[in-house]
Amino acid sequence: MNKRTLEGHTFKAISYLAAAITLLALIGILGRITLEALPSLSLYFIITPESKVPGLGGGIANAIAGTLLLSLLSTALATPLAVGTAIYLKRYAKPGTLVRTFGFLLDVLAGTPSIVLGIFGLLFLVYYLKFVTGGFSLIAGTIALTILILPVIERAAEGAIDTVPAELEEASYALGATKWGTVRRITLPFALTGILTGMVLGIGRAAEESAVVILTAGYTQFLPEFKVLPREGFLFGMKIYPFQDLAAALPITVYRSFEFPHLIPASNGFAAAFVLIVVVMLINAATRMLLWRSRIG
Amino acid sequence: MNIGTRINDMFKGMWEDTRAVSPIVATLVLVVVAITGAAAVGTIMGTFSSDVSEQSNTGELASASSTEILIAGSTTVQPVSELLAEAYMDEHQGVKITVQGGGSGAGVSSAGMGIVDIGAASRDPKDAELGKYPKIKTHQIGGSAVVVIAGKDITAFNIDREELKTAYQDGDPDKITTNLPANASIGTLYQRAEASGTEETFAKWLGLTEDKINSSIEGATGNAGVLAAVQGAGDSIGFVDYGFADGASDIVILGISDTGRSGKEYKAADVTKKNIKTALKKNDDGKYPTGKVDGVDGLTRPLNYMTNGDPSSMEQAFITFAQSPGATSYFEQCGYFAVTEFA
Repeated sequence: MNKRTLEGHTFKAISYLAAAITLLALIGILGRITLEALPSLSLYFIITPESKVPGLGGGIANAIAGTLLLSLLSTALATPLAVGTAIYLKRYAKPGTLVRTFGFLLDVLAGTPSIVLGIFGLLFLVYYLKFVTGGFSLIAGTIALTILILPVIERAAEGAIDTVPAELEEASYALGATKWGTVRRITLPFALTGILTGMVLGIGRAAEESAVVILTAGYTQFLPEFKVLPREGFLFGMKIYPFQDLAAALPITVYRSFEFPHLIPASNGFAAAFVLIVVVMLINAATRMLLWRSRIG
Repeated sequence: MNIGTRINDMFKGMWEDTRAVSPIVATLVLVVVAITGAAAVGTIMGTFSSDVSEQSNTGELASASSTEILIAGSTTVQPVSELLAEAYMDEHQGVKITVQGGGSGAGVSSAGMGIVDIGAASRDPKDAELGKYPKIKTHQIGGSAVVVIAGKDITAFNIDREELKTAYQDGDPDKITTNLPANASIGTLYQRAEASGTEETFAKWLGLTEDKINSSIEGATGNAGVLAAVQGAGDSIGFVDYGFADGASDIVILGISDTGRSGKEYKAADVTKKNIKTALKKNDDGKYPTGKVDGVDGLTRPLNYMTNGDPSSMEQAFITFAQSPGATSYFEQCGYFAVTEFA
């Protein structure tokens, strides 16, 4: 066996090993969580909010609803901003120092620890803007999470726009299409797969976030309500539910079972973790199915 | 073309239509639809619920501010707050009390900032905090005490505070010798794995700061975790909230010998519910070290609710409920004492 073949085999073995370790770790973690979750996992546990169960824990419907609202709303809010920014940077702005600085700032924002955004949210959204957001609230949590996931989606969108073949766009221009027409009919549909990946990452990031959520959306034992009630000190003198009301989230439920081991069974936390994984998986699948049709290329 | 084929074509078209929709337009439409939908549903439900509440209790205003309370702060107080809130809401339909954690410090500052209605703390507000938020009003709802426990192989004795301090500082259980029963030896010390009010109280009483406890000492999570660890190792020593130690099997509660500082001896047999209550009640450190004597920190601590200024009538009603004799059982469930038990 010569040196080159040996080298080839060695690296093949290393990559096989790495893949095997990763896969085993993943299976180990998921398997363990599922196993530990089983004693608590029931339909009742999933569809009952904590407020309806005596004592602590016992139900996670409030957290599931909160996580869904927070991650979907923040992704819906962040996507137009992120895709718009990406299109501007890649198709409209003249490349130069300004664009590079902007890109750098986005990277800084992407690398900002979530607790920093949480503290910012607590001070700015919860404290200073209390009359608008209602203090700890779904809307404060959504805005903070939007800032958190915006760079994730923006970077993915930029990368996706880069993959659009120049020939396709040139052909579009040659046929007399306007810039906007080309962006709308060629660039975006072609880049859609990449943008989707960004959205899916964004949803996952928003759903798993706990530091930002606890500091901006707080926590509630109740299911979200849909109503408007008069309330002094709020914008227009009314409180709009669920936007100006507190919101729960699954990661916090997971943490609570660790925080109060004598009052909440550990399996409650694992069951919440299991449901969190399933929820993120379902949202991802749904997003892909919803937007898959519009792609080209 | 018959109707069947038309319907079939309609649905076929839905899936096979490959014309691209701009994702921006699609997302914008989605957002608009979602917000409009939510607003519409909200308005309908709002009208409906205010109609219902007007009909059902005309005496009460259907205003959000008058029926909602947000409590946040100490994780020690949090479980008892949740039990109290549940019981209170059972009796008062339409009232909504939400409970959050955050820690005692967060309880004081968020009450002071006015972002929560009631802040919770397992200690009194510090002078610096009162300087920053002068309007803070403290309402004591309960109390608790930290006790030193040992495993079943050790018979109860009066552990020396100075030696206990050195042992926890150096991570060396052999430093504890005074009063130790013959043939007994201490193998393991336990501390809390996480930052905790219990550990803070214990460390302060020892005369240490929390971070001076030797990190080589094995940590267990929560009062329940330390209790289980000491129950599992017969020759070990740990500290837990009294509520967890009281009546627990396979452990003994130790007495305390404080010859080095106050010169007092607290007999193991004296560590009882009654004496802890007395200590909490009268700041009397005759039978158990309390926090208010001679400026030295003791092993008892208050459980407080705090409001920014005078509480509203709703908040006052809930605080009064928490301070009422009927609330005692909820404190017991969590291992604490209700304020009525010692006030």
